[in-house]
Amino acid sequence: MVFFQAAFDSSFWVHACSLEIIDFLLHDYQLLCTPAVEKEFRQANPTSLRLGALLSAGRIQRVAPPSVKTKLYGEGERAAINLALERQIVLLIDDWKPCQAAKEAGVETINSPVYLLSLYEREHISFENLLQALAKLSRRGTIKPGWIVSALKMAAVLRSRSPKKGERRNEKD
Amino acid sequence: MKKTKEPKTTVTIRLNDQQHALLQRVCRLKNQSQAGYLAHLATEQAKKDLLDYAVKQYVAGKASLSELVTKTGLDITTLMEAIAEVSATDRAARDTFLAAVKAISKAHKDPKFYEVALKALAS
Repeated sequence: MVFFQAAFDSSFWVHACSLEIIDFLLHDYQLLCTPAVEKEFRQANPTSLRLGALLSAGRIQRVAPPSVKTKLYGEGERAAINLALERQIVLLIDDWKPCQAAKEAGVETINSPVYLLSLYEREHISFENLLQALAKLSRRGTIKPGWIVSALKMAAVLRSRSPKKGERRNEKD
Repeated sequence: MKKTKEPKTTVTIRLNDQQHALLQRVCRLKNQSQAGYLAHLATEQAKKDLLDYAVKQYVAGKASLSELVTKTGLDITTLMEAIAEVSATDRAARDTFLAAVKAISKAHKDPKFYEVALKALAS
């Protein structure tokens, strides 16, 4: 069941494909894609083909370009921010600079480390999977290191608060 | 079926005798026209230069990914993979990750956290 609509920018999509979390995203959100974001995938590769296939199948909704509000940054990021502003929906974004601009404009943003934490908290992924994904993102160099560190701190807090997951309890046995 | 011709633009370049002799020699050896050789060389080099420019701008924090894609006409996945390749050779990201997990593991008295993080980094 889909609860919320979300816009996304291409940096988030590339990371989500690399982390293999697209199915979780499709379960959690009705994803909306602007033509400007789609246009940033110019070559045929698994990442762009996945987006194209989901758009064709209607699993991701193609939406008309939003009326211009912010005028910052590249075309894809600008369109995604404006769509989120126009429809008052969440923006999934991993590029730090436009993310800051979106926040300043009043958009609620989610980056991939935060989304990974929510998957861990809901027990969709294990603690090992969470740290593997964060390590992978860290190695890529296309995400703000501070976001990774914050996610690691949050992961430790969630882990200590969740003996029901059996992880720490089992370690003591 | 008749093949439609792709529209082309003419670019004129001027070479001195030495440069031209060099070009003629390599094209003869490769059995290729001078125009074809130069067109291939120039476009391949231009792609590399655009990617190199975009990676450097991003790593220096001077522009966002989408901004660079708009400016250079590059594909976003190609750009992000190129940045990842550069980042893979840089120990800074690995060191930051390790330092963070070490400190967090200590603060939470959770040695397993560090252990799992080390394995994650190696995988």
